[in-house]
Amino acid sequence: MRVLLAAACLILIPLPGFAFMPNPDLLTVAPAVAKAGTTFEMTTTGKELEGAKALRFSHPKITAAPVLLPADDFYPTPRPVEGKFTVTIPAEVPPGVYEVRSHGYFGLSTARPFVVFPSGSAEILESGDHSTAETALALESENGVLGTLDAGRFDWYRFAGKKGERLLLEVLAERLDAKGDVLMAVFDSGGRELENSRHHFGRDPFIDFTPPADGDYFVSLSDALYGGGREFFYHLRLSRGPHVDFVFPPAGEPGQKRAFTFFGRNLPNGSLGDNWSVKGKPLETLEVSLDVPAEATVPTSFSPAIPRESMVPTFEHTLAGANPVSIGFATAPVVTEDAKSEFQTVAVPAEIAGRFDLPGDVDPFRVSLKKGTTYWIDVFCHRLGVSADPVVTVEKIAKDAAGKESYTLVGTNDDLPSFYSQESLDDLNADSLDPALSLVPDADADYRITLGNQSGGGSAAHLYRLAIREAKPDFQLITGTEFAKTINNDAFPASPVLRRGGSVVYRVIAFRRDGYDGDITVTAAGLPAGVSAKPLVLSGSSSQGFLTLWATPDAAAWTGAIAITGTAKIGGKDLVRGARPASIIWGKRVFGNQAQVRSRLDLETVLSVLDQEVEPTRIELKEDKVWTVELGKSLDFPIKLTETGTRVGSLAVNVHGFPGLKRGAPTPTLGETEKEGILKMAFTPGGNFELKPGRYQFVLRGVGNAKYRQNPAAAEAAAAEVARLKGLKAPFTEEVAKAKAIVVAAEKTLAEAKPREASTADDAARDALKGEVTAAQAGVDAAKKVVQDAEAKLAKLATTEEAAMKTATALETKAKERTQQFATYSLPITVEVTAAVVKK
Amino acid sequence: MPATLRCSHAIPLIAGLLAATVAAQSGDLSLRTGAGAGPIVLKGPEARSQVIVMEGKNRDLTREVKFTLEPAGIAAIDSSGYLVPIGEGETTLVVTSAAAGATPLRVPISVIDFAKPQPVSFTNDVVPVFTRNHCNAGGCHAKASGQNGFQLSLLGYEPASDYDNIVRYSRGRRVAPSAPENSMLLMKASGELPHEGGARLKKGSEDYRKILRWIEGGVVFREENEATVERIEVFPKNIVTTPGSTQQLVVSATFSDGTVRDITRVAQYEANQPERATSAETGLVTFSNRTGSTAVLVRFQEHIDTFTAMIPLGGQLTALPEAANFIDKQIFAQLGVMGIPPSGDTSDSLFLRRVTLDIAGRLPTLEETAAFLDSTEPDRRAKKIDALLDSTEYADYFAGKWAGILRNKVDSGVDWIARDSHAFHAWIRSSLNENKPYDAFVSDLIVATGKSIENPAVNWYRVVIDGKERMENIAQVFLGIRMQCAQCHHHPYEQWSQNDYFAFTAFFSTLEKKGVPKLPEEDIYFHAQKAALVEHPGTKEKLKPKLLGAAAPLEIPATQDPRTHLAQWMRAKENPYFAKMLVNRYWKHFFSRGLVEPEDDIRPSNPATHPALFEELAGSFVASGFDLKELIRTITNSRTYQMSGDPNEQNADDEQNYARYYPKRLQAEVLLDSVNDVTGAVNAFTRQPQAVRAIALPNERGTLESEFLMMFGRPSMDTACECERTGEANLGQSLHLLNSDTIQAKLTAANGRAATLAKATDRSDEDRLSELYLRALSRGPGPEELAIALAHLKKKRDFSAADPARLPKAQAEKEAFEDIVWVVLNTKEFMFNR
Repeated sequence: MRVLLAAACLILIPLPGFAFMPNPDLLTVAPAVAKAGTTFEMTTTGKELEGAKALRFSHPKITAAPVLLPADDFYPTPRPVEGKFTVTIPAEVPPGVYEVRSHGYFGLSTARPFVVFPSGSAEILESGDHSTAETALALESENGVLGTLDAGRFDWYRFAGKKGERLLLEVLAERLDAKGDVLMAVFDSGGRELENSRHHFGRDPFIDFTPPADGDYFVSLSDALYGGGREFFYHLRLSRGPHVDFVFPPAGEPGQKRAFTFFGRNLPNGSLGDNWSVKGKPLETLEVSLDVPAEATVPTSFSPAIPRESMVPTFEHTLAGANPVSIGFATAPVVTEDAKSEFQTVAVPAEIAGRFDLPGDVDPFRVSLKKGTTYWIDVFCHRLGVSADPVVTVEKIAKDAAGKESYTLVGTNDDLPSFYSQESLDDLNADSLDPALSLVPDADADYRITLGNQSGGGSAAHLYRLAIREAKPDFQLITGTEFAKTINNDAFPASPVLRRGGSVVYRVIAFRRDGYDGDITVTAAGLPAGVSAKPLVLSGSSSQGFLTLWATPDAAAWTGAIAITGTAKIGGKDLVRGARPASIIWGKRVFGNQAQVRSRLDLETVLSVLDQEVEPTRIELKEDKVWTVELGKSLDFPIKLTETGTRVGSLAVNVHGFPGLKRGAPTPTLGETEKEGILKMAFTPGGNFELKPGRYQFVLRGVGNAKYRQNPAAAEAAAAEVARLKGLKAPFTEEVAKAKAIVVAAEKTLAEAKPREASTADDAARDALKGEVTAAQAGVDAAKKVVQDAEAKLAKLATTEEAAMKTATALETKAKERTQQFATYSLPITVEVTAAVVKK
Repeated sequence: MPATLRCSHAIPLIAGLLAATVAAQSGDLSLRTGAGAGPIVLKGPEARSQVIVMEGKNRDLTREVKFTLEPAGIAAIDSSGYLVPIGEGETTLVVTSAAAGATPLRVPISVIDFAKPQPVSFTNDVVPVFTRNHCNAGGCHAKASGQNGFQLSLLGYEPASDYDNIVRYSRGRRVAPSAPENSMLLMKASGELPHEGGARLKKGSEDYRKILRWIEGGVVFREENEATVERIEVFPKNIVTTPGSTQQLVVSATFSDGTVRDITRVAQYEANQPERATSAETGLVTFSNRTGSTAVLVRFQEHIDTFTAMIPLGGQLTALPEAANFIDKQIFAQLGVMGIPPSGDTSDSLFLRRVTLDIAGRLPTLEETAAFLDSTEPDRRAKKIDALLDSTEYADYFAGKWAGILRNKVDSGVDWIARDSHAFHAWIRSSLNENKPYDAFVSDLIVATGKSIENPAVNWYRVVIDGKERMENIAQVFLGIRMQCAQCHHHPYEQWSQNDYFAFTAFFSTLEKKGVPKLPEEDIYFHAQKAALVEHPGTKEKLKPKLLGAAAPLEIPATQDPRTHLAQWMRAKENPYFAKMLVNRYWKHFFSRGLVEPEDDIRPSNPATHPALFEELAGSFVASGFDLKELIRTITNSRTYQMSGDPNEQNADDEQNYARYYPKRLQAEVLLDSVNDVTGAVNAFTRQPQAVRAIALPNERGTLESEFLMMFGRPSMDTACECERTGEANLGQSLHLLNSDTIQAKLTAANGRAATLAKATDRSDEDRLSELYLRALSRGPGPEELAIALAHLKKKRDFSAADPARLPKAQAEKEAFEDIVWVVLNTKEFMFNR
């Protein structure tokens, strides 16, 4: 409900439950939406955002300056209000979803989405208590309103509806990283619920409402569990404008011009003639001819979807006034599914654009395949954002003498292997439900390729792309940063923060297309001086690894974007792909195996180098080389530590990111004074180690404790500030005393003047004396005013000092030396595992 | 409708029914045996036949007539009508009735093959001996572990297994074909050898000889071309009789070879209401002095049939209300037959309260009560029903009911499960709100796949995890069939075998769950594309899905979800169970008892009190397109529903004929909300909006959080049975309403009703008291009630006036109203829907 921006600014967030080095996590920005061409105040909340003096937006033209309190009697210069910024969005910033990060003492925080609406949009402000239908806020057509849900309550809006018009109500919440799982319902004026929605776009609701009669209608919003608070913000829009649901075919061939059918509501010149509908609401269609770009480019707009979904290369198209839609790049000539055909024949290569029309729909296709050719059957469906779980089967067709056909199963796939494993401590959801499989026919023959949807749904919007073609090897990378964790199920967003002499890892996940199994060399570019990385080579045996960045002990402070790219030699050419950053949306400390971790892509890969903090320990191997071992044999890795001397207790070292290594990995422990150790590793395949000959890379991760003081400079500055304020007391006290003395003197003058005036008979002299009395009285009054002002200043000083002391105490507590857990990472270590030598 | 009884066109119908009885009294005799109504043939020396003689359709004269055989020496008959052969030849059975003017009946009898004993069939002759003598009862040799090493199948449902146990196991020592009389089986059963169960078979008795002859015959399991029983039939099927009378039953078995045999003395009988009727092994039913409907289950092998009887009160009906619809026609017709005069029409105020509580789960508001009582529109009741059905509260209330049946539990209550559970409740509620046809609702639930957040119906599969339990719940909730027994053995009161149990379970055998790493709320329920098969635990046979009652399993390709076939069959108009189950459930909601009780245990052996009404109601529900609101409309617009709950002199004991409205205690949630509405309090539950109404609570958490809901029997949703909700009234509940902290807090709240009424000093006492009564009881206070309440106000005021320091005036006013609210809450009138 109410947007209480002014009051909600400085809420102290308790220290996070995990005991690792501070890492800045931006939780909310308010408002999370704004119009281009405006300047407004933005409030941030989060963890470890102290000392934030700037915000970084992914659009460089959006700027922010700290909100300053003006200079006053106690502060000679203006001073910033923590967590508050004046943000300016120039009119030329195009509408879209951008990223914002806080920039403070610990560098750049995690990112949160921030929406820019066109300058002309009709945004209104939420105001007052509107938690009942009677107090509902009025909405006009095209109004957008940013609100916040309160725990246990509903937010109510009302609008005037005309019989038969098509009204669209859309909520943005989860898509802006808000925590609410918003329920939306529409009621008539008699209190009868006419429509309700949840989970239309992910968790966000959408209602397509046609009033049955002219009249007032009501909208209620709440969280599914009736939670509330600043993290439960939402944006609601009431629109009569166009909305595009999807486009068919969902992909076009690069560089070609073709017709696409837009399906949606309130489409200008849209037709209802085809009788399409979704969830009981009719869909209009509109044919549009579009040029498909020749090359896919990395999207510049924020995507709230799961990472795999966001990794599908697309281009965007926006019908005037409508929402932008994404259209894919077909990987083979596009053929549309013939819904009337029970067994459609398709010439390969082809990318079939189809749909699961009805629940339980199963679509078989007949193709002729050539002996010895490697074909890939690749399905895009879940990755198109469709709620489906496709499964593909391939059968070889044979005919008997009578011409009767029989089918022999030659391959099936439900999902590609998961990137997730308990052991990899991975939190990014890199999986999709889309199947893919390869096939090398043993003879020229006809095959039946059948696509079914296991999760049952079916509608006009259940689209798929089924590519049947020869292999086109390629890859894509995503990266993520993460907290070292104490419990496998914990998951917290983390921003890459590099301390002097320290390390930070980026998890790199490679999506290999069409079974590409060559090396992918991952490098970082744009690193500042004093920061280095060693290339990570993901050999064919691995699709995940860690890229470590190291800072020198004298690295300078720096924040900015870096680029992580992967290079692979495919078809004799170097194919370079930029890695896209991903992050966890909300942190979760969970006991029991029930974590709910959502992740999505970010727009920028950032790095922060801190010059004011030093990492306690650096871990590396004594020797930097390619280690070689025979399968079944062991290898000793001598470990070397470089330390600042602040480490307390032992350092637990483990092997991090070795593909196929499950529980039971060696974990040598180095005592407080030990600077060297041995990692003994048996390269024996077994229950907990799926190992084949090949080249592998991993990092060492050391987890220990160290003496740590958090931001002592701030504590000192705050203490100095308290001292300075205390120092101001004497002059102000003196000022009061002085003023009081003046009062005394003035009163004396007055006291003397009054009797004189009374005792004077001479009229002229009395007049003169009268003037003297008046002047003396004025002097007394003026002097008293000075006393009053000075005393007020003194009182204000006392409260200012109290506040400063409170801040100083808090900072001092933080800055007190404590034992803090830390994690340190080695550079990637390469091991060549050779096949076991067969003894004769 | 005006609350008066009218003589109406229902009378001729009653008169017609009575006329049939009168005609029968004129001496119209009929005779038949278990083998039919024609000439009697007794084949072989062991052939037996039970004769019954009926006067008309309803009066059994078997034990009153005189039997003679002309000539004698061919057969013999005793006074109970039991006929045995004694020599080869032809004779005639002559039946003479003492009733004046009755012509004797003459029936030819032939005894053939008297010297040629018929072969003894293990299945048709030997196993029934075990059943009749309780050897294969659940407490004896049919226990899961058998008894002292000897196991028989429950009630002989698995003859093959019994045969193995007798002949093959324990080294075959139980039978001795070389010296049949020395067989352990016989010696134990007759008590010649020590037998824990005692001497069950008298040596030389018919049953003894049957087993002996079977052993002598070489312990054959099944003769070549041996006929099997295809069905059994009891005669008479139903009668209208008098208290204290008897009825001899005869039972026929139709065999696969087309023959029909009398099995009266080898079938088993079980009366479903021993307080109304008892049954003997001979098939003789003895009625007690209690009136009402009752039934006797007849069983032979896995076949069952049912005899039902009505024992009318015999009261004099001078007039019946005009029937508003077919419900009334059927109910009134039966009341006519039973001779139970119905109560009159209920008052408008009680009707309003009753129907609002029953449809919307709440008390009528002051405004609604005023408007309704002021209305003179003739169709105001029908309009009120329509308005209530059109309200969102109808959906709230019935969603709570269905959430319990569909077990919307959260258990540990972690956020994501709570979210799923809320979504499931919302899905049910929306379905009801938009009046989704019931068949579509059920079908959507049964075939649900996908993520719970996108298709909340799959939540049912989240809660009910085991395939067998899924099947059992679906059968019980939507078909009224309790399959549970058949998991371990053939259902004792039903046609369902273990084979049926597991083949029906197979419909759920391809449903699997795919976990999404770290995001359990996105887990996907899906049909794994494989053949649907479930292994029979006994035979190890892999069973394909088979619909209940179907002859053969379905052939379902792996690509198809077998549940879609199940759903199609269930929702088909001709499904014999689906619509009946629902109408019975809803009937019970409004009338406190099902046409069949318990409401979800519908089987031939548990017949409806009003079979024709049951059929017609189910038929009308199907014809309406499974329209739930229309069903409620039909029920609540009936005169039967709108009858007064006050009994007359003759119908006070009626519990099954709907001669009056049966009052019911308000359900826990409804009562809590009603207490709140009267006291001006609101609820507070976690993960719920402020002031949520208890009827809108989605899952069992509310029950765990509220002592009140627990106390008044809100279900914890552990089972699919509505019986989990208790409607009983007990001492604990009374004490809770009388003096619990919860109620005290509601009564004394600063902004509560009592405080508000006390502060409204600009209104008269009478006006304020009237408001309270209208809110709680939908009527104003009666003169006596008013006088008592006014006196109480005066008493408190006087007390305050005498000593204002001890009881200030404002406090006295508030306390006085608190006391009166408390009294009203504790009246039965408030706590009951009547």
